Amino acid sequence: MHLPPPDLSIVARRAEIVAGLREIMPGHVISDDESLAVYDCDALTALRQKPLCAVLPGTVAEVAAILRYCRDAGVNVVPRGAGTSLSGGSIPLGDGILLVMARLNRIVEVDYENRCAVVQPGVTNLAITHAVEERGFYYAPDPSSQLACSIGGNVAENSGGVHCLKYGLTTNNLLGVEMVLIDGSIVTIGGKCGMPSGYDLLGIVTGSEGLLGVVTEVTVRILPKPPLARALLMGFPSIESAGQCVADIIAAGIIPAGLELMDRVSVGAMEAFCAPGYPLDAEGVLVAELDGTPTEVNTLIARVEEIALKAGANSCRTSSSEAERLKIWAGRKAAFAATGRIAPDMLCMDGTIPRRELPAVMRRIRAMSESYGLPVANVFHAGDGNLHPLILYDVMKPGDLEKADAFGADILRLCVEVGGVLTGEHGVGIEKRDLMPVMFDAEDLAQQQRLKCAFDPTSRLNPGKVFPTLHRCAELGQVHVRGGQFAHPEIPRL
Amino acid sequence: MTVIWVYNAQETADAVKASLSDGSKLALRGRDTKRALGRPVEAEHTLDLSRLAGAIRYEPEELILTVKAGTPMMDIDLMLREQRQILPFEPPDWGPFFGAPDRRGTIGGILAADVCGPRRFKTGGPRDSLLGFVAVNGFGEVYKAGGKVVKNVTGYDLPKLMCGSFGTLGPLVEVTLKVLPAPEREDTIILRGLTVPEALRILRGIAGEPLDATGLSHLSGELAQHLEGTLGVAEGLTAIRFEGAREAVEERIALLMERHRRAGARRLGGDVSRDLWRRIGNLDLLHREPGVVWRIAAPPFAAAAIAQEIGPNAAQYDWAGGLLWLLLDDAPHAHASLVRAVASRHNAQSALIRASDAQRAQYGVFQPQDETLARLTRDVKAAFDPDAVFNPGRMYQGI
Repeated sequence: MHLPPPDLSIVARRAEIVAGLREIMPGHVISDDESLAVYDCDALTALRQKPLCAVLPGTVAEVAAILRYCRDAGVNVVPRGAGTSLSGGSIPLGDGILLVMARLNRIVEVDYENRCAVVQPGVTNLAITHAVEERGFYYAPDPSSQLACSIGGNVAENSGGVHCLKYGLTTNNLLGVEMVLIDGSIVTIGGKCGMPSGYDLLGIVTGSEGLLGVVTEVTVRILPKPPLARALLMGFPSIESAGQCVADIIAAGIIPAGLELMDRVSVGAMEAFCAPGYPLDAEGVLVAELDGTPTEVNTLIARVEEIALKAGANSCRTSSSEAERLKIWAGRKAAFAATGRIAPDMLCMDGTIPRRELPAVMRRIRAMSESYGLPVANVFHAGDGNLHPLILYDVMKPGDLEKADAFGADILRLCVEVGGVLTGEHGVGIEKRDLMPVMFDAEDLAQQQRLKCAFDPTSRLNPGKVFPTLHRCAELGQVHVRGGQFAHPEIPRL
Repeated sequence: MTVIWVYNAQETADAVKASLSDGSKLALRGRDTKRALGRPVEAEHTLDLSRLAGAIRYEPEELILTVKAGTPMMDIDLMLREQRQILPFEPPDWGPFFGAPDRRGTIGGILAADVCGPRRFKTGGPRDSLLGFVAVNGFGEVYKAGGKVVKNVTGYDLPKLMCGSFGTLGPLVEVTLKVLPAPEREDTIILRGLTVPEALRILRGIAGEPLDATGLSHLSGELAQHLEGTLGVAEGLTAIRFEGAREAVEERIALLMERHRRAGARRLGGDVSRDLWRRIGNLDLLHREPGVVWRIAAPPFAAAAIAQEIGPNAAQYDWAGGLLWLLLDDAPHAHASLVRAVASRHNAQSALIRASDAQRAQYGVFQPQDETLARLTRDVKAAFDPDAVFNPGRMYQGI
């Protein structure tokens, strides 16, 4: 995991570039070293680097003018929402400007008749729900960082959350975006209608990690909030029996709103942090949430309880009030903060595996933990097989960061080996960029990069993220890849 | 026109390479049930993908199904039924509507044409269920995208792009789909004789309540009269479906029966309910009436106004007004300029679904795109198929 080396010929033109941008937007170009320190990383804090400058546009027209300028001047652009990416999606590049969307933070329209909201990209995820909850609606995707993360960033990363088993990721909850392309043209994709015709460009823009364009307005679906949600807290003597319980719940035709599994290490950390009342003697703690109308919730809670006891749960408690439900969630939601207290630094991984592989993968992660000499705490979105092993390390200890990095890469290779994927919801970014060939062949990656070229032919938007090898678009048009070897080995590998 | 049959990914790629070398074009087909959907294609050869059929891996407990793309829907339905699972987007059978036999289409065709049923507003379309695929691009390369797990954000989400691309980005060879448990129970409430604005207001209201309705449709009297038995009356029929755990369905049905008791609400049980929604999804009632059919995807609130401004002879409204099917007199111009102008005014998207080859060729099928969107569409097409080998003109002129 490392940052791409900056193009020094761009860095040398820094003063000229800053001046050029100030002509477009006199007030909101940040270029002094001290102020830029604020922008030197995102939530992948292991890597830091200052951008050429940070630019904070306030209108779509300004975004368009900035992008056009950057394309013409040959300057790289890294878009940034709230900077909460865990994969380094918004880490600045030394040879690029940071395009900070924070000032575009208005809720443009709430349209209850069409059950949608139109918002600017800098609006936080939670603010959307706040804007519509008075009428009993909410915005479903709920990444852990929802208090801080912006909807623009959610679109870029296709963010998930603990409720996506039932309600889907960002991509399943979007209706449209307005986006600015690198040449400054403004394009509207989708809108308030649920099924636009033509190629599903909204589908590829979502989760494109800032590589295709800069989103300037988002139309999201809002849902009526279920009148009741109850949580079940279940303790299991082994990860196997907890995993079996998850499989049995799904096999019984029940899709809970949330289904979270935690191992003993993380449960210990959470208890110490906020005392959510988790069973400390359990090897696996499972939280299931059922939502809907009261009859529905109570029926399903009873069914899940029965399944859990059959699967060998040695404790099982159901929330009987909203306060109790929130308390059960408090531990899981504080996973990062709690784990952060038991080690100076932490690397959060994000692979997905077929659920049946859970016990085997857990065993292998434990073995790796021993051989690397780094502890690991595990939290999973168990319903969809999305793992979040938290690798604990100390950046001040020489070699620890490198070890953590290698450990994380081994976990992700394991995920792919058992039939899973590198990232379930955090994105590839810089963190997993070099692992892309583990999952995709050269042909697969070339096809993805050709798509990139359709949007950004000079590769100015967030270069060095997602793809391990840069290609010039003209070459991709004819490149035929054979036997895993790219036809142009002279092009630098990042 | 010659037909090329292919039996695996490599043969498919070889067929594409052969076309690249002699500059010929390929019309893609599965089992040829949707040829009348989209613009007519002119190509030297037909690439028949129906032999790419069969299950590869079905893991009910993982909610995952991987099949070859030419697998008939009939086989998939059977497999799913045995495990009491479903495809969330409720793929209908449009065979008869397009003049083909019933129960014949393939999963590849369903995905390529973005075919989905009355449940889409609730559980998404094909795009929301296709997790990964293997395909052949216009370079004659076999490649894969997406994954085989339900949650994945690794790389661009190409599975979304393939849905609704009508084969213009290349043939799908293998697809991995997300499946869901079949609902334990379904029941429907019907209301009779409502005006279109009244019916749509009620349906939108229910969509905005936490009741999880999974079907919210209204049929005009001209369509409803084709229903059998006591349902077949020439007045508007409004249908509200609930699916899920038995107790939950019961609770919701009771609530709505009480609310609409004075308006003569009637309850349809499992089989009758299933049959009604199957016919709505299959466009079976529209099939009984001659004329041109337009599909309009709209912001739900605009549906009544759109219908009023176009003035169809008959109409079916799905997704609480989010989707309109409008039947108009057959006319040489297919009412294209009127329908498109109205759709555009209401930020809706029209598609000319049933019309002659000549009408679809001349007036196009989909809502015309603005300049930037049209350029992106061309560039995306070129990224997959630079020599325009696949299905030339199927979606737009040149695409």
